[in-house]
Amino acid sequence: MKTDTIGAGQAVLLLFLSRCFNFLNYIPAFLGRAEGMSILTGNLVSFLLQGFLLIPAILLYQRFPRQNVLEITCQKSRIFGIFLAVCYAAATLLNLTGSLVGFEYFITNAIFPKSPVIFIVISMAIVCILCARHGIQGIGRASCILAVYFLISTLFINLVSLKSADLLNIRPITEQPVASIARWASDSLAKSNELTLFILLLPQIRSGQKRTAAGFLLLSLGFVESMIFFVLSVLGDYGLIQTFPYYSLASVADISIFQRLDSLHMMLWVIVAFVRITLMAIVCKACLQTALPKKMHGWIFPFILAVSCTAAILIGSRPEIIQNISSTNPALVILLSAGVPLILLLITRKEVSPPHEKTIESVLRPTADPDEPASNRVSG
Amino acid sequence: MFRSLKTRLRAIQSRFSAQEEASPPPDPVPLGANLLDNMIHLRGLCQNSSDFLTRQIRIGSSTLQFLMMEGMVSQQTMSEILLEPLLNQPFSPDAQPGEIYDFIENRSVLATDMKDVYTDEEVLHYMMSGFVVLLMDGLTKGIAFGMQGYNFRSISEPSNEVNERGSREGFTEPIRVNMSMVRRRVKSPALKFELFTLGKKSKTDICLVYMTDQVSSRLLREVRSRLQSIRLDMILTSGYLQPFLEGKPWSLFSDVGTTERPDVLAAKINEGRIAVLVDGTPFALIVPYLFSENFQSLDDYAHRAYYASFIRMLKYISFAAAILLPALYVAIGSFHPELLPHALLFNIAAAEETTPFPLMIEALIIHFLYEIMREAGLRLPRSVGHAVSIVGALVIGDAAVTAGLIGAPMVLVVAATAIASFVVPSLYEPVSVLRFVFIILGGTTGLYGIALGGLYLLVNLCSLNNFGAVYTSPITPLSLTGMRDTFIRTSFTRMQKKNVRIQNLPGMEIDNSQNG
Amino acid sequence: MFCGLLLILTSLLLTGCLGEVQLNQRAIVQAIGIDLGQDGGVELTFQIFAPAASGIEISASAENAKIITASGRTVSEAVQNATLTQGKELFIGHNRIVILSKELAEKGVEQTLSYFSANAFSRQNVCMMVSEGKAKELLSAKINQGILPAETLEKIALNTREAGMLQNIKLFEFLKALENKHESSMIPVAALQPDPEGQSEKGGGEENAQSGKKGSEGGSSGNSIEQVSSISLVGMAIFSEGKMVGMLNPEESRGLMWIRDAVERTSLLVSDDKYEVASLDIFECDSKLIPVIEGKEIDFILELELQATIGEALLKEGQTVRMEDIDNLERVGEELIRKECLDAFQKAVREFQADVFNLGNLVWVKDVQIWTEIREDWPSMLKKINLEVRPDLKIDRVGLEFKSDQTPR
Repeated sequence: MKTDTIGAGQAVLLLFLSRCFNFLNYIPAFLGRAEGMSILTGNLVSFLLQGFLLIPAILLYQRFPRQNVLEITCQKSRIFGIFLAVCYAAATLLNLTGSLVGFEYFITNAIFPKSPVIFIVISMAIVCILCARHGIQGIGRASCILAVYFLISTLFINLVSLKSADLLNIRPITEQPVASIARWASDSLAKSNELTLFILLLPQIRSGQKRTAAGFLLLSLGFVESMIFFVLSVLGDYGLIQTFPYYSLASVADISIFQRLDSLHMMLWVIVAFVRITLMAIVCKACLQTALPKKMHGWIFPFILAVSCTAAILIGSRPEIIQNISSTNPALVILLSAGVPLILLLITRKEVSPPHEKTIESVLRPTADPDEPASNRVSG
Repeated sequence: MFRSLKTRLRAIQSRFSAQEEASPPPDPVPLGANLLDNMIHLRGLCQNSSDFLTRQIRIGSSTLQFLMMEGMVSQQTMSEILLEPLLNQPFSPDAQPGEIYDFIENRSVLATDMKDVYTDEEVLHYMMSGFVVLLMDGLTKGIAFGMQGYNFRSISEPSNEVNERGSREGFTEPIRVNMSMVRRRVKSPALKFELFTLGKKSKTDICLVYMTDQVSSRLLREVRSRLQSIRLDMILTSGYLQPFLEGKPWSLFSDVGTTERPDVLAAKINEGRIAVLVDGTPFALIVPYLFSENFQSLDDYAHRAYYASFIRMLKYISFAAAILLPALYVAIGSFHPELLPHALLFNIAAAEETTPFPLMIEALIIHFLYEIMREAGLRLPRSVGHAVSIVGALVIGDAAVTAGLIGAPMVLVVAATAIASFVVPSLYEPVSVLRFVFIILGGTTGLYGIALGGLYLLVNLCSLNNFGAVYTSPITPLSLTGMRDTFIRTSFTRMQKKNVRIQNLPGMEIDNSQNG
Repeated sequence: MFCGLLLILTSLLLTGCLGEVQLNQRAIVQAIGIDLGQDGGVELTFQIFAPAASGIEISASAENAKIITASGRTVSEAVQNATLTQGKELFIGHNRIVILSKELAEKGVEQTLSYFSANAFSRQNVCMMVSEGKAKELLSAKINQGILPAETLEKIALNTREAGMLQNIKLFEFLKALENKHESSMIPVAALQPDPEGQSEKGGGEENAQSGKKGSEGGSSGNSIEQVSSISLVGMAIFSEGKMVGMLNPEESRGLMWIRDAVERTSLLVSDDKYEVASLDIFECDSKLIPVIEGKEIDFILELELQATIGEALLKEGQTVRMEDIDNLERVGEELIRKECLDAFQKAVREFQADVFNLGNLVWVKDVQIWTEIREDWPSMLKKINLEVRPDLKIDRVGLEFKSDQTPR
């Protein structure tokens, strides 16, 4: 039976672009000073941990193909299923709002210092929700093209800043190496919300789920490490006091006529924020669809739009809350991405259930009734 | 012996041409045996129209009536092929209608295209298609002979799809001429034409053209069902059919292709697509249609591979420039002047020093003027056309700048954009509208707005999948075989290695699509 | 889709507050000069692009620039006050150069530069200069090259790689050094030459040659061509913890360049027993500093690899040379380089206690333990560091003229 599926390559690039938003939006000032090597090592450790965290979800998927954690829980007990769906939806909505706030923070600090928060938030949210209505296939295919553009641009920025790079600027760790690395690792882990998205998207990926996970982790690791390397080697400690280090790197890089690469960088930022917010809106809608009755499904997207916009506008006016919500506590991520699949694995140890296709079809399809004949289909 | 076959064929034919409706027109009335009654009935149906011609002759003891429409029949063919053999045949003096019918039907070849007609509707339909219909007193059926001789435009070079090294033939209005042009190019028994009529009043002939060994049967069923659901009165051009075949009528980009050339059509149907020919228009429709096809032209396959690749890249860049160049200029000039190199910024700043309007208004005015001029140039008679181009050059180019209305760099931008938009003619409609949208976005919100608008457009493009065919294939989902003819054109030695069928590209759901 | 478009278009109504400024409302600032103002504040001078001929044509001349001055307690207040005197919004996104006056530099620049670091529009890779007198005078000087004088000011700074004696420092490099207590930085110093009124000042011409310009004989107007500019670079200022601690003249500062691996091309004047004077044009130079750590004793070895060609050569009376004599030239060149390096090291590190060579970072990377111990006392440890210079000069080409002896071999 047909579902709204994307290929493994598209899934990798989708998750990768979403992860890049975290990196670009990273504000090191919130975490305090550190030496270069501790940042690099901390990130490496965190990605290894993420690989381990994904193992329960993959094992669960192998046991129950074509179903994600919500559907499996719904089969066992409807109440828990709804509860879990609401939890996941709330977590995703929180991340969505966080991404909106982070994006708006960047735009109002770096590009348009005089613009009001409300405009940036509303315009971005509207465009993202409108694109989320097309379903995951639209954003999946678009992310392939965007990822190519993204990688080429970042490669270009890196090559141009290579001539100012100096390895001396990456300092080795002076004191308390383990604590320092652990701090950065847990911070990086706390920002890896893509793990939750991945396990919820598992049924959507046509084939090669393990390849998707491995590809996503490796690609993100390579990218993040190389970016950190360039930022540190060119800007050194000065980079760590910048609000947006990579943005400063892009504005410093220049070669012949390409003087200001920071506006190019702004486009990259918009792209990754867009992919992330759209993806989260799609997943949030999917979670809410399993929890709510059918006649309310049409109201889900407006609800998401309203809640996230209001919350983002309220938070955006208070920068101290921004620091608070960029938490460094990875507990939620670990629980949602590894804890829940692990519990389900243990509970359903001896069972294998047939694929429950009706549920999947109603989930994650764009807003169209599949029973409508094609000629009467209303578009839009 | 062929009667059962004929009945079966007729049944299939009537299934395609039957119009099931609750409201009038009334059911077709079968012909009676009385010729006079038939004639009165038929003339009454035509309201005694002046082009309803009849000619009565007697052979043996039978009365034969030839019916035709004025100007539709070739008189020479009729007299040489139909009348002469018929009149010279030694019938017995008391020949019955059945005997004459038997002679015509089984013992002679008076016309290659001969059909039996049973109802008044069929009689009129064939008469209006240029057939000569023969009715005999005492016979409850008639015979239609295909002797079309109406005037039509001769085969000429298509004006919209110009090329250097391909053929100069384009489709003309009669559908049968077009069908023959395609058949001449594809001498394969797999090529199939499927004729039926659409349009309650116009009863236009529509022909589906496809290769039976390439096409997906599901796609065929889908196309047929969509076309059958049309309830229009008149089908005058292929543009009438287009919205029914498109997936999302509101979308900016059309996912039904058109072509005026038989060689392009032949190439497309070999990839598993279906072409729709419409009688009365030289433009054929092709479904499904991918975005990358807008940038392919037959010339690419005549040039060398390196040059063809270069031209392809040029087309993509021109497309991007035609949409984005004025918007980028406005956005960067108003919001991000730090992006420009120093000297360029100085020139633009000096030019804008004394102009009264902001950059966005300037851009909108000038582009609007340009569109007016272009449209005027299209509609004006040829004799006045020169004046338009002179006025255009003067107004936009010189006078506006010297009068201080707009800055000189804006003229350059307009000129470059206008030229770039003609490189890909099939996308001219979306490009024109998008250009204005992006100018407004760029002028109000800078590069941020352009980025958002571009992303929205991209996602909308990527989610188009009419008939299950992904619009942005083979770029995403990536297909390396398909990519050999997208941004570049690889050599024919490589292209001959693998035949591409549109339903086989990755991500396509044409074969198992249950909706559009 | 239609609803979507409608939503988007309505959200566009919220614009107008994004900070759109038309080009003819922007005053495009090309150079900023900061002086010490009265009462401990700052006085800013902006050079903006104001075309003499508006419309399509701009000529390259000094008439395309205008000056705006403003003062305030801090830089941002001064920028704000600048809008009181003229009608356009200041746009510093295209700023090319920041000039600090010597007084300000000696007082401390950290607070002044924080404006440029935090402002969203300013560029981090602007050139920097210190002016001998007031920055305002430098910015008001008339320069007849480029579209406007600020362009030439920037190019003077960028042109330092031609002579190899001074180094152009960008804002972010300076700020990076400012972040670490143990690092120091330096900025080139420019001065306004006295206006040679009606006199042919060969000295002025030569000093202009230092900054790479060709000046003809001076003269304000009348029947001689004007000089290109009256500004020239006179040395490098050393900064430690944001304050200027000293200055090196161009000959001394070349030593700094050797050690920092910042020389691309330069010209050495040597003489030996056969050559009266020979100029070695160095076209390739790589240098590496290697720390040698023994306990708390830290020394450095400087290894240089250079390649040169012979520029002009004047032989002593009656002398001819052979290819073997080039070796001697090489040795003399190496001696000269060693001396310059040691002199510069002595002055910068020992005298001014400024670590402009990343010495601290080199120790840090080599041995983290030792660095954590000596980190606090690094400025006092600088006095005890010894430098050993090992230059390796190769002259492998001789130019188009070579006065060899006539004796056949």
